[in-house]
Amino acid sequence: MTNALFEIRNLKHRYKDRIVLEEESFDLYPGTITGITGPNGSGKSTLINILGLILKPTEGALRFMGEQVVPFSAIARERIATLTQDSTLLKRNVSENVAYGLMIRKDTNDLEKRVAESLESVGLPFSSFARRSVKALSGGEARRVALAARLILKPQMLLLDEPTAHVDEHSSTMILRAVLHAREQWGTTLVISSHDREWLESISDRTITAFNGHLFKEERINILTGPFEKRGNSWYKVGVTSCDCNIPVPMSPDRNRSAIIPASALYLAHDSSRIPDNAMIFKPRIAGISLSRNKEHLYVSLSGSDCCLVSIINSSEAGSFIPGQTVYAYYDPADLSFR
Amino acid sequence: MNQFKKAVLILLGLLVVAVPCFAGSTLMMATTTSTDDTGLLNVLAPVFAKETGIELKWTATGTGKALKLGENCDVDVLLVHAPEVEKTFVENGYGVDRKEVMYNDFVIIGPASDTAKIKGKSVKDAFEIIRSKSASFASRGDKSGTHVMELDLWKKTGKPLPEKESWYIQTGQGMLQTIGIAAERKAYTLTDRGTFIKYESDHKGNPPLVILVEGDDVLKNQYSVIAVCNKHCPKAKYDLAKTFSDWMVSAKTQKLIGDFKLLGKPLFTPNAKK
Amino acid sequence: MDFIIDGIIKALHLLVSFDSETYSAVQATIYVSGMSMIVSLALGIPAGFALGYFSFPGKRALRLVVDTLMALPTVFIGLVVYAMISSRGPLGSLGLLFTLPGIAIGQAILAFPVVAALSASAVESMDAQLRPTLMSFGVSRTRLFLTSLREVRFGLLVAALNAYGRVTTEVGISMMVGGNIKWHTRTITTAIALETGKGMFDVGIALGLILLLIAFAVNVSMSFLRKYE
Repeated sequence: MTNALFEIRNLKHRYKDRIVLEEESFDLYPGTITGITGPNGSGKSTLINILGLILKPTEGALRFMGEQVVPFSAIARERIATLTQDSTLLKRNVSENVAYGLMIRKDTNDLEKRVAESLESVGLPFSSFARRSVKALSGGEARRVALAARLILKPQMLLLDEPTAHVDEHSSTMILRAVLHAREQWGTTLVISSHDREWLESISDRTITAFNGHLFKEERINILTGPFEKRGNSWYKVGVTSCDCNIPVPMSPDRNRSAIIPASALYLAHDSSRIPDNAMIFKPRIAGISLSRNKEHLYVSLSGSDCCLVSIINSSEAGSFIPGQTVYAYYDPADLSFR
Repeated sequence: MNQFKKAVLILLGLLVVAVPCFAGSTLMMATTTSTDDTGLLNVLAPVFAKETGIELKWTATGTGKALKLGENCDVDVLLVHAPEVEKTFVENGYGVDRKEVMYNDFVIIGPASDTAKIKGKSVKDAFEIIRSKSASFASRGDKSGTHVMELDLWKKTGKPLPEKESWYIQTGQGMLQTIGIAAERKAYTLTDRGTFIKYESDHKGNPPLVILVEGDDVLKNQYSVIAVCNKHCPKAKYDLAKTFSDWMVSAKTQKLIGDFKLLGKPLFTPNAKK
Repeated sequence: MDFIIDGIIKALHLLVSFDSETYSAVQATIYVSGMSMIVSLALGIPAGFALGYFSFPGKRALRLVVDTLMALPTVFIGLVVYAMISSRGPLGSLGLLFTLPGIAIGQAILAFPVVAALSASAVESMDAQLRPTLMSFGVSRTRLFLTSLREVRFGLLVAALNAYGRVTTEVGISMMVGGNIKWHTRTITTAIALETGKGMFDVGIALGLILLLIAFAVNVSMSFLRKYE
């Protein structure tokens, strides 16, 4: 595919000798919504800042619209806008803050009208907010002003790092509405990070998971964090609380790393006869079943260890698995990776 | 941003207006504070400019620094009053054409009651009486021309300086302040006549301190004009300096100096050698 | 102490009568302080910005040096500048001695460490999120610098007003380098020194009040920068 809007190749970003993000190949396509989820410190913000050309990666190539770009590259500067996690407002009034991006682009036709539209789009009436000092804004209002300041630029690509974190429900709704509206109107390519996987999946075309500086592009992944324990000849991920079973892992794992099994590589069966010989097998209980966004398959959540595991099955198999059942779950050791 | 631009424009505008114009030939002179403070140069400079077309600019400092400015070629001409040092200056090849122009004089003043009885005595006698009676005496103590003169006068009495005596008050301040302190302490002091005239007029002609000793030859303060030597300083405007020193000793200018009055009293006596 | 009241009356008189000697000194003061402020701000703000913004080896030591230079005595600067621009000094051929630009050079040296040190402090106290925030708008490098400066404008204003205060009140440099030449290099402060030496305390106080008026005007005209602070 060559029609990617943004391409990342052989990226490696270090912070004080520690690799905080590593990715061989990652593409963003025009008009799509990409969600990024993952725990704190997993590399979400690093990825957003690299995509937003705020951070220069230690190694690797970035291409935007087919052109090699680095921070301050003119082509990207004009077209990419980012709402960083801790973005601050300038020491000016609300309307000057919203107009800032246009002012520096010297694009000031109908400025007041556009500022008004942008403010209204995030649910802040121009008449009562325009002249207000940024000091007099609530957290949610400040976040919406910051978003309005990016939306007014009609960016080709808009990156939002935790746009709804620490924001009240009303603000959160207004932010989401404005962002989705932007994509509808201008075909803006969106990248949104959030802790809230459910919410992300409900709006994104695809959701990737960041973990320990790696990006997992599978729909769902299962992360097995330690402790691992040896029983007999095998190693297990041992549940700490409310565990029905322990999950076998194929080799002696590095204690400091976590094991990753994509949800699509975790299979379910009612009897063990059809399970391949080399598979790792355990017997969890089905906790719940939900339909994926594209309605093509089902997510089966398994109450396994202290984390909730997910398997993906075809919607045609819907009838054969019922919550509460105990089933065989298995995976090919080749699909497990340590990170 | 508009307001900021406006402020910058106003500032730049002020600067343009404020640039003084430098035009015509100018002569740079170093002199001592006394000629500037009394206002003599304010009278002489415009007349000089009118008659010769040369603008006279001067910087007034201590005698020592004035001579240093000449040595460093920063000025073209000097008007100073330290005959001994001036001679060395000329001998060292820094200056030429030293011409005596005028003098003013120092006076010894003290309380009108004159408890030590020095009125009308010679300077040497007056100083000896002050010392023997331990009468309070205020000294500038700041190495100024007046202070140097005072130390010289003590030396002429042939006895050591009364530096550590309790009656000897070193003020470390200017002449006017020193006179003020002397008045407070009912002390005697040595001052140039110009400053005393000013002090006298400040007290509406009825000052607590009065002149007790004057007219003694040793109290004379000779002013001379010296051109900075062209060989030592190739850039010095010797021809202008020469025009100035010739003009200073001309009969007309000498009369101008003699007619110069501070608060109605003459201050300088012209004494250029014909 | 009549001369204080006399001084106030005299100050008003000098101002409304457009006394040419007073205005010459006021002009000289505005000229030299304006020139020295332009130079010291143009050099001091970028230097202070670099000092506060970037980290490099020896930064702390350099910062200490600049902070110390804030206490440079004016007579010392006057002496050094005199030695440099005296006819026999290395820059003597420029003919700067006894000129207003000569004084301005000395005052710029006086003001530079003040501007640099205080703007470095202002930049250091800048929000760490400002750079990523501005970059998220797609700023150019120049714009990043300019907007950052604007964000710390209050700190820079404090730096500038501090430097301005030192520049307009100093006597040592103006006296030593300018020579207090009437109609040319006589500034308000050297005029005060002269008048006080002559015992004209009332004129000295009048000139002091005029200097205060100028400082007040400068502060008022800069106060709009405090908006949104």
